[in-house]
Amino acid sequence: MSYRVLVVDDSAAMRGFVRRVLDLSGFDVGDVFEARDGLEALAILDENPIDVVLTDINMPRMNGEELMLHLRDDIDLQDVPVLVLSADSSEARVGRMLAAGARGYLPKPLSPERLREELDRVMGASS
Amino acid sequence: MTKSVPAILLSSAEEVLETMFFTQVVGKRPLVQDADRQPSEKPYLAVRLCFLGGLDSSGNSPSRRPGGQLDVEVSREGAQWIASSFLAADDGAVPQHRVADVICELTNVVCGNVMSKIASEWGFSMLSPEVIRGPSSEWPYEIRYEESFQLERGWLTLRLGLASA
Repeated sequence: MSYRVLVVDDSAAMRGFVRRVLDLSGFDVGDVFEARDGLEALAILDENPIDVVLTDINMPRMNGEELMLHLRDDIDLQDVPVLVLSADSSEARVGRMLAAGARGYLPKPLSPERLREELDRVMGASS
Repeated sequence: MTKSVPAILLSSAEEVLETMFFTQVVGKRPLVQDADRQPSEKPYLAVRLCFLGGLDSSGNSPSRRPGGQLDVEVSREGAQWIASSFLAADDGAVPQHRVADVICELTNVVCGNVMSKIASEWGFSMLSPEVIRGPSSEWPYEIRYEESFQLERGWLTLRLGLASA
């Protein structure tokens, strides 16, 4: 099964890098969608069946935490697993994002191996 | 925090550059004061990221702890090499504005990595990195750490400022 992945980050360079890391990870990736913030992500999620969301935290208009709270309150989207990719890996921040509903938290710098491990764990638990 | 701040700056630079920017730190580089710099030693690009300390009880308004800033300075050769490695582009083929975007991302990840080691328990909040235009003489922080590294191509300097608690 190929998984449809949504990458949410306000940096085009970082979205491109995450795509590259997904390729290198060997994870079975199908279509990859991109959004610049939480609002764009919600629009894509409304129109497309997405298997997993990879999101940054700090973004304009709607940040990653707000995106997760929207998903948690949406009966059609609340089961879509969200992984947070962030430079901020402080205990305080990780705790807040997991409490908001993140299934996993990957601190940057991001490696293909760590991303694969986390995707296997989260998607294995979801299937 | 078991390591000293200079050791954290080194380990973070190595970890971030190798893992995400496919660039090796080959050693430390002597620091040169601004006034003593030769034209070839002036940075091609300088990026500043300010951060606020501590998450308050509602989470989004950091206020309990003082903040600081991280400046990243990089040589022309270093900036172009890092950008082309990150974007998987040919060396020298990345336009200047995209080089700046990549160095801003590098600053963001290094700052997060450093601060997660220094201030993990109380948290912090990072603002957006910005390219510094003109001389960067403003330095309002009492505590300052500075390390410079020779890369496999070019060089990079980290300057961390922390307000005293």
